[in-house]
Order: sequence, then C-alpha cells, then structure tokens
Amino acid sequence: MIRCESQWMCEMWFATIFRRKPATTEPLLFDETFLRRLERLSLQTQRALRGTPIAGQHPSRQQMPATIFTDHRPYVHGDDPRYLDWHAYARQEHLLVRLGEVEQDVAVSVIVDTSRSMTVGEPNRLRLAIQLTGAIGYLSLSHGDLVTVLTGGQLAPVFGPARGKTLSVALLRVLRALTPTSQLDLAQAARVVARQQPQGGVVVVISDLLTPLPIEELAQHVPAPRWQVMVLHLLSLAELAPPLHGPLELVDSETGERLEIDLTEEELAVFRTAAQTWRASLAARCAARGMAYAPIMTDWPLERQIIPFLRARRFLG
Amino acid sequence: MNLLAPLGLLALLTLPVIVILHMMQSRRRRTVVPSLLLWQQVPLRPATRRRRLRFTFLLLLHMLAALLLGLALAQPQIPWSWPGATRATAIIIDTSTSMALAETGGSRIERARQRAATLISQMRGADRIVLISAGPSARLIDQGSSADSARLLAALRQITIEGVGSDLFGAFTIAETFLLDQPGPRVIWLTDGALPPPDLNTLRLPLQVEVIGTRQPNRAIVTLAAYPNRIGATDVYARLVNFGDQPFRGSVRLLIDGQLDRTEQISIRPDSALELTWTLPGAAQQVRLEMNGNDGLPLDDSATVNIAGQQPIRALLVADDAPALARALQAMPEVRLQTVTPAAYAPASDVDLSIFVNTLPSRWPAGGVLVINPPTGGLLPISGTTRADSPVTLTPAGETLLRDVNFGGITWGQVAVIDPPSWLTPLLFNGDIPLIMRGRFERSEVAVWSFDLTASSLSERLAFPLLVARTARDLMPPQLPTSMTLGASLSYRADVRTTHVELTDPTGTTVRLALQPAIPTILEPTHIGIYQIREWAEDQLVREAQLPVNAGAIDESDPTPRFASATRNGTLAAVIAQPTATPQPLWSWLIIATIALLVGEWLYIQRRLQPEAR
Repeated sequence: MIRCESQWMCEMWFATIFRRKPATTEPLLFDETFLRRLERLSLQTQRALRGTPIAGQHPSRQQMPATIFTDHRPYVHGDDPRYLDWHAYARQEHLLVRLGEVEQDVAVSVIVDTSRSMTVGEPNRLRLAIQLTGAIGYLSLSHGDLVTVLTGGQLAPVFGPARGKTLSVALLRVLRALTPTSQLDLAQAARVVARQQPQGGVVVVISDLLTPLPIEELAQHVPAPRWQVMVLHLLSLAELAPPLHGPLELVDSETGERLEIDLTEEELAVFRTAAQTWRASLAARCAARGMAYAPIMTDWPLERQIIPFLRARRFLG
Repeated sequence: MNLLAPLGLLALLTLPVIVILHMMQSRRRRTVVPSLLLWQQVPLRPATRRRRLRFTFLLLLHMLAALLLGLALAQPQIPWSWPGATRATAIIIDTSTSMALAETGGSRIERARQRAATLISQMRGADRIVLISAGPSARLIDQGSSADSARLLAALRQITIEGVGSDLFGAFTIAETFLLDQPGPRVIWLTDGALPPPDLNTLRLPLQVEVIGTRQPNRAIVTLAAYPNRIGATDVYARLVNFGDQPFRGSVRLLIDGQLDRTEQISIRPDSALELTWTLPGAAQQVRLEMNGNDGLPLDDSATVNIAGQQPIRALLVADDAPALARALQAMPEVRLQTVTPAAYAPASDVDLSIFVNTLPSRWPAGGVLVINPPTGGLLPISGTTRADSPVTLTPAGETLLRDVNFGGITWGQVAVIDPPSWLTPLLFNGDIPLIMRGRFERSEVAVWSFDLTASSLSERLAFPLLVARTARDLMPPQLPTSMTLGASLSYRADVRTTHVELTDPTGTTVRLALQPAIPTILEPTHIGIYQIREWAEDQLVREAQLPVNAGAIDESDPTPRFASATRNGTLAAVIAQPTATPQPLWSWLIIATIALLVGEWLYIQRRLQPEAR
C-alpha cells in the first residue's frame, strides 16, 4: 500500500505542536480516606490455603487450643492445662483439651499486566491495573499478609515478598513507577510465584488478557486448592464495541502487526460476537480450573463500582 | 483584472499535485488497537486495492488554499476601487484667533483637533488624509495613509491658533492639488463659522462644512494706538467692542512702560463699540491696555503698542565747514550729530550715518554713507568736473526718493563727473551727468551727491532740508511697526551692518536668523505678546527693538458663527472626465484568506484527531 506521507506528516506536525501537554505530576493513586476505608476490607481466601498460624487474619483449617472452642481432643503431655475442659472431665472422666479456630496469613501474589496494550484507549487500563494492585496490596499488607507484585516483563518481583503495613508506602511508590513493557508472560510469572511460595497462597492476575492465555499451564503451576487464583479481566467498551468504520489499517499496539480491513456493520457484528465468545470462553476455562474470574470495565469508578463488584463476587470481604 | 506577475500562476500546478497526494492519501485510516487477537477472528473480505479519489472536506480546503496562494503569487489587481472603501479626505482646520474661544467641552480648536483625530482613526486600507490649516495663510500640515496614522495624529497635535483671518481659498487650492487624482475625494472643513460666509462655488470637490461652536459673547480691544504730540505728551486711542447681547460693565487698566498708570470703569452696550482716548503727560515708549473681558477668548482682552517715533540716528559729519548741512541735520529730531574734520576722521562702529563733504574715506564705512562733492581719486571713478545747469531729470529709481522735491531753478555750479560703478544707481541727471546716486557696497548704504554745496544754490532752497532728511532716512533701515496683529507677516529689513538677528518670542524662545545685507526677511509671529529683536554685526549689538503682537481685530473678535454646518456636492465629475481609479491590489486579501483556510483546516484536523485519540 502506498502511504500519503504529506497528510500524515501534516497531521503529526499539528498534533505535535498544538497537542495538550500532559500534566507534569501524576495524580495520586488513592486518597487517604479511601485507604482508610480499604482497611476495613480483606481478601476472601479459602480455608484450604496454607499460611502461618496466628500471624494473619484469614480463616484456616487448623485448630489449636483456645478459650473459644469448637471441638475437643484428648489431652497429651505438654498441653497447656489452661485449655483443659474440666466440665467434660467431670462428665466423662477424660481429660479433653478445648480446640478453637486458628487465623492465618496467606501469601498474596499480584501479577500485573504492563504490556503496551494496557495503555491503548481511554481511560488508561494500566492505571486502573496499578490502582487495583495498590488496593489489593495495601489491604493485604494491612492484614499481615505476605505480598509479592510481579509484572509481565520481569522475572524478579518488583515488590516483595514483604509483610507489614509500613511497607505500603514503598509498594505504592513502586507501583507509580511502573511503565509499559513488552508482552506479558503469565506462565513465567506463575512459575516464579510457585517457586517463591511453595506452600501456596492467593494469586491475583490483573490483565486485559489480550494474549493467548495459557490457562491450563497457569493451573499447572498454581493448582487449586493450594493456590487460589483470581483473574481480574480489564475490559474497555471500545474493545467490545469499537467505534470504527470504513477502510482501516489496524495496528497491534504490542507487536506492531498490521491488518487491513474494510469494516462494515456486518464485520462489526461478527467482531462483537467474537469478543463476547472470547470473554465467555475465558470465564469458562477459568471456572474449569478452579480460578475465579471477574470482568471489570475500565470506565467503572474504582471505589463506587469496582470494589462493590469485587465484594459481590466474593473476591473481597 | 491585471496580473502583475503572471508567472505566479505556475503555482496552480500544485492543484493536480494535491489531487494526486489525496489519491495516495486515500489509504486506510491507521488505527492503533490494543491487540489484533480478536480482529483476526473476523472473517475478512479482500481489501479493495483500487485507489479512488474521495472528495473530502480536507481536499476542498487544500485545493482552495493552493488556488488562493497561486493567485496571490500572480499579484492580481482590479482596476476599480472597492465600493466605498477608499477615501481621500482633506481636513481643513480653521486656525484663526476666534477658534481659541473656550466653550463647554474645550476650546474650539481642541474640538476641531478631536474631530480630526476621529477622522484619522477611522481611516481604513488605502484611505488618505491631507491635513491643512487655514489660518492667515493656508498651510499643508501633513498627509498620509492609514499606515501613517500615528504621524498624522502627532502633526495634528501641533496645530495651534495662527492669527487673524482664515485663508480658506488657499486651503481649498491645497486640497484640490492633493485630491483631484484620488479616489473618493472629499473636503471636511472644521471651522467656528466666525467669518463671512465664503463663496464655495469655486471648489470642485465635495465639501462638508462642520461648524464647531455656538454663539458666545466676547469683549475685545480691537484698536490701540499711541502717538507723541507736539507738546511732548502722548495721545492714546483705544477702541473696545462688546460682541454679545448683554451690556458689559468692567474696567480697563492702562500701563505705561510696564507701570500701571490708571484704571477706569467702562460700560459697553450690546453689539457696540466704545472709543477711549487719553493724553499722557511726558514721553513714553510703550503703552499696554488690559480689560477684564470675562469671556472665553482672553487673547483679545489686552493690547500693547509702541509709541510711534523715529529710531535715533547717530550721524558723523566729516567736513571742514558745512553749516547748512549741519543745520539741516540738526533739524531732524532723531539725528544725533557729531562733526569732525577730515583729518580727524577715524572709522567708528557706533556711527549709523557717515557724511563726507568734499572728502572721501579710504574705504566705505559700514552703515549709511553720504558723500557730497567727492574729490578726484579714491573710491569713486571721477573723471573731472563740469558745470551743470537746470533742468534736471529724475530716473525711475529716483522717483521714489525724490518725488515732490522741487529742483527747479537750482544752479548746481561745478559738479564732479562720475562714471557710476555698477553698484551705484543714478537718481537725478543733469543732461547726462548724474547729480545724485544711490547704491549699496558690501555693508554700506551709499548716497553720492556730485555737486558742491557751496557752489550750488540748493542749500538756499526749501528742497535742501527735505533732500537731506529723505536721504538720511533712506540710508537707515525702515522703522518697525508700532504693533502687529497675530497672523500677519512682516517683511523685516535690518540695518545693513547686521549679520544676524536674534528673535525672542514671548515664551522666551530665541531664534537666530542669519541675514544677507539689505535682504529683508519675513517675520511671522506665532504668539501673543512682545517679541524682542536684536540685530548683531558679528558680536556687536547694532540695534534692539520690541515688537508687540496683539490678537484683537474687528473681524476676528466676533465669535458668532455666521453660517451652519452643511454638505455640498462638488463638480468633480465635470472636471475629471475620465477618473483614473487606482488599481486595488488583491494579493494581501488572498494571503489572508489562505491563512484563514489553513487555520480552519487545523481546527478541522484537531476535531478529527480528538475522537481517534480516545
């Protein structure tokens, strides 16, 4: 195809000279009141997860001697006599120890897609992904969980593993410094997570999933029930129903690959159907592998729509 | 339409280039999408490869811009004027004294300046304005187009009152000179109408008369004169007028040589005059009369006049014995006579008139020189003596000086036969022998009498003192007027010795004027008050005088408008059969239109880019 450079250059010249300059300072990810409200939430984790007892606030399947009890077990040498159930001894003449539920921490690993496709369109998907990562990381650190953040482009985590609310500032600083990178390799990131946290934990994948997602390979590295995988799929309306028409040359933002197409209503209808099918397929494949899947539209407000949606989907409690 | 640079049309070749570029541009619109993952699932039809020109708004803008630019490069001109666009206006501002009258909203001249400034600021495009002042003599102040507005406004601010009278026809002549070949000519005359209605039939241009001012009362001193009388006193005459419909009661102050002499109460009936006379004891140099006119034109409420008198003449008689001549000189009141013998003569700078009887100096002394019966040799070419008898003949040059002097019956005796050099003009002949000659040599005014006073019967005749007095006064510079009216001009002839004149106006500003001997210079006072005049011969003061300048005049002190604002069509069409319209260049408009198109294109592109960016 012969390209008319003059008109393109003319437009670019005008766009370069007269475009609005971006603000020199990025707005804050969250305000303080939002963080305070966020502390009241927590990740909804499964009891099957293995964590460090007593250190966290997530329910576990482990039981230990406790004052508030749900079960008994025979007394063995070395048990704390304070937890002996003397009433049961009086009735049954057996020494029984009262057992209660033990709370635990979990390892929370967030895999953020920072590929270039996350930056195409308005509102910016990457910023929403960073906000979600920050929110999940902050509430996990607040609840004493072990937090790790990975991006698709790097083998080593960009943050963590770390524990403690005091590290939330460092987390937010790291997230604000994130820039678009090359393509996301989810399987590689899952391998890193599995190697670092062999006891299992929560894996949150935040991505537009515009890559051939190896759901099955992901499930192999972080299998349920040892791992609880949550997939947050960031979708934009322009992606599901693009406002395009006519002869176009579509350029892949990540690979630079081009596709010439004459878009008519017929093609657009086919595209919309394909997008719905793709989304449904992702949800079905995630469900089949025991992964939680939540589609999130990028134009949803974080606090007023996304957080309630995640609570409704039992991602947050 | 004319094209000044037809080769500029070659730029229109860009039109097909633009079409080709747009055909090439009709490629698919490039759109960046997050991923082609889903798009690849859409069953694609083979893309159309055939390029087809799409008539878009952008193509239209590009073609129009290129077309206008190509036409602009060809520099087209249209041979007609823009309808009502270009105007050539002559603004004639009345600068007569009555325009100084203060009314509500400022003086009349200020309001005229404001109106003219408005007209200047309203100039557009190729409009032209000619600024003319119509004072005692019409003057072109400045002219220019709309690009010269700042300069025209600065020139307008310099226009002030010039004096009595308004040379309207001179102003019309200037206006016609500059406007007859201009498109849309018109004349706007800003005046207070305080002058007799002029005959405007001679003006060939459309005229718009704008009368500034209303009927206002004014009291003025229109005449002031003072003369010494025979008994050594001074007679003073003044004429005061009251232009108004109310009687005037006030006072006048008479100042003699700067000292208050008297104050008198006066009463003048409406629209009438009051004549006052005083006889002042003793001699005086200057009289000033002031009136508390209490009106809007204080300029004519005072007047100053010098006492009419002769300038003193310091005369030096170089003669052994000339009693008749000495008596005749001493009979002149302004002459201060000194007598020396030829042997004791030495040139002196403080002598105005040197009289040589039967002798000649080695060179002509500066100033006035009267030579009587010159001896042979020396400064004059004398070939001998001869006898001269009546009758005598006056030359045309002598008619001015010697008219009415009766030379009949005079016996002249032996006279020197002088072959007059080129600088000497004979005034009186006896046959072909010149008897009286007059001329100027360098810085000397010279009169030569070739007859001997002792041998002639002239000294016994009544014509003798008359001839002496006329000759002595003719050798001296003329007297200054006792006063002048603002706006009048004076042909000033300085003493022949004068090399330069210092003229100090009432504001204290001194102007130095270099003079050529005996060539008069024109003085045009521009301020009311007393001008100081000093004549210098190199660094020696020759003469010092004062010249009062007054504003009051019977024609000017009545500020009542005598005609109203009007508009009159000119007869220009009859005068100019084929009006030559100035060709109007179009390139600037075409460039402006091109720039506007490009701006529109930019806005259009910006609007298109915004949704794509989203």
